[in-house]
Amino acid sequence: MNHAWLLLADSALPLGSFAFSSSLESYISHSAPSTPKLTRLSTFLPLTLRSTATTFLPFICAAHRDPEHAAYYDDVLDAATTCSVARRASISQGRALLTVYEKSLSAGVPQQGSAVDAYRLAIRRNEASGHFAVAWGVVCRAFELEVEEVCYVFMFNHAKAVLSAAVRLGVCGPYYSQKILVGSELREMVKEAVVDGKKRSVEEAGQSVPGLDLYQGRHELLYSRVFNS
Amino acid sequence: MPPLPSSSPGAGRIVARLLPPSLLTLPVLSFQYPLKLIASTISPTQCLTVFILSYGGGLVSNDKINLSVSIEEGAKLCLLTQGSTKIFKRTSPEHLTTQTLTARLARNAALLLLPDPLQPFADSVYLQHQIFHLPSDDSASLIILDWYTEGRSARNEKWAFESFESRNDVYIDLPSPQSEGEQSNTPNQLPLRTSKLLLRDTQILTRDPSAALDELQSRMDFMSVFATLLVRGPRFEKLQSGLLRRYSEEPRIGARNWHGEKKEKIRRFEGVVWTAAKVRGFVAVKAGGRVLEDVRAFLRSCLEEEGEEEVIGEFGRGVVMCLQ
Repeated sequence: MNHAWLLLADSALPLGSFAFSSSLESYISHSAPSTPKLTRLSTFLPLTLRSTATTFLPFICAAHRDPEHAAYYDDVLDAATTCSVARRASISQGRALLTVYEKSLSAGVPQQGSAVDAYRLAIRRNEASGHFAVAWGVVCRAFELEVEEVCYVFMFNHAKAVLSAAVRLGVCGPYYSQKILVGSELREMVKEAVVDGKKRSVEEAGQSVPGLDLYQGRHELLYSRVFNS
Repeated sequence: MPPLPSSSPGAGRIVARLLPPSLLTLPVLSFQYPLKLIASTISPTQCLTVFILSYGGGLVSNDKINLSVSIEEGAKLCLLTQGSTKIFKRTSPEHLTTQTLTARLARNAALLLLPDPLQPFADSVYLQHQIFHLPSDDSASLIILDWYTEGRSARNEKWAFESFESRNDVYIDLPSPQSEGEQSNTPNQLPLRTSKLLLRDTQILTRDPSAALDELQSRMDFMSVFATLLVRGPRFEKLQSGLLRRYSEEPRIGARNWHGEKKEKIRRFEGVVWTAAKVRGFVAVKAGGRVLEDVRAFLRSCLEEEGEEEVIGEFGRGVVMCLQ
C-alpha cells in the first residue's frame, strides 16, 4: 500500500470538505416532509455517486494521465460546470488541496518540480480556477498513485463526505453511516461509478442526474443552512 | 475538398444576411430528406425565422440531421419547430439517431434557438450535439433553449428510452496568433487552438444495463421535463439581469412568514423547480417540472416578462411561438 493514501483518504486532510453536503441538504429540504429522511438518503446516495462519476472522473483521469495540461482541463471543467454553487464547492476544495500540497504533502512526493507547481502557477495567473477533480488528479499523479485507486478513493471520499453531512443533518447516526460505508452495496456503487466515469473522455463528461443541478443551485435559497453546498 | 454538407441525407444549410440598412435575407436555405426547413413567410422586418421540421414530425431510427447555420454580420435569425421533436424507437441495434447543429455567428449577429421540446420515445437512442461559434470580439448574442420530456406521457411512458445525450458547446474564436514560432518549440504542446470553449452543458441519460429497469426513472426524481436556457450577449443584458433578479426573488425554502401573506408581486410557478446562475458571461437557467405545460408557461414568462423589450420588442412575438 502506498503511504500517501493514509493521508489522502483521511477525513482530517484539511480540505474543508466538511462544509459541503454536495446538495444533500437542499435535496432533503425540497422533499416532502412526509418522506422519511433515511429514505431520501438512500435515494440520494446512488444519484450523487453517478453524477459525480460522469461529471468529475473524466477530468481526474485526464489530469492524472497528462498533468502538464492540468490548466487546460481545469478550464474545460470550469466551462462544463454551469452551477455556481457546485463551482464554488469544487474550487474551494481544489485550492485547499493544492495549498496542503504546497505546505505539507510535497515533502513526501518521489520527485520534486512536478506538474503541480505549473498548475498552481496557472491559478495564480488566473489561467485556471483550481477545480477539485483536476487538483486531485495532479496531486495523486505526483505521488505516482494508480489511476484506478485515484478514482476509487475520490468516489469513496465523496460518499464519506455525504454521509458525514447526513450525520450532522440528523438524517442518520454515526453507526448507521459507518454501516453504509462498509457495506457491499456502497462498494458496488463506487466500483460501477468508477467504471462509468473512467471510460469517458473529458469531451464526453456531463451531468447524468439532471435534478441534482437544480437542487445544488437552489441550495442558496435555503432559509437556514448548515452547509456551503 | 470535402463534399458540401447539403449533399448528404439529413444535411441542411442556412445563411442569414443583413443587407444594409435593414433588409434581412436568407441567401442560402438548402436541405435534404429527412430534414425540412421552412422560412416564415412573414416579412422579416425584425428577424428571420426558419422552422426546422422533419417528415412525419419526428426522427426515426438512424436518422442523421446535420444542420449548418451561418449568421452574418448584424443579421438576426430565430430557429423554431412546429411541435415536439419525436424520437422514435431504435429498430436495429447498430442504429443511432443524431442531430447536429453547427452555428457560426458573425459580429453583432443574433441567434434565437427556441424549439419545442425533444420527446424521446421508449427504446430510442439519441445523440444531439449543438455547437455555437461566437466572433472573437464577443459582440454576438445568443439564446439557446434545450429541453426534453419523459416520452409519451399519455401512454404512461416515463424515461423509457435506451439513451439520450444532449450537448451544447459554445466557443469563442481566438484572435489569430501573432507568431507561432515560440509555441511550437514547447514539447507536448496541445494543438494550437483557434477557439476557446466558453460553456458546455451536457446531459447524459443512458440506461445502465446492470441496474434495475426503473433506475433511469428514479434518477429523474418524478420530473417529466427538464429545460436549460442559456443567454449571452450585448442584446440580452436586461434579460440576463431580469432572470437573475427573478431567481433572487424566489421564496426562501423553509422560511416562516412572520408578517402574514403579502400580495405577491410576481407570478410563481409552483410546479417548477428552477435555478439561475451567472456563468462565464452567460446566464444559465435550469428548470424541471412534473407537468410539461407548467415548464412551458414558466419559460414563456421568463422570455416575455424579463425579455419584454429585448426579445419580444426587438425580435417580435413570434419567437416564443413554441412556448405558447
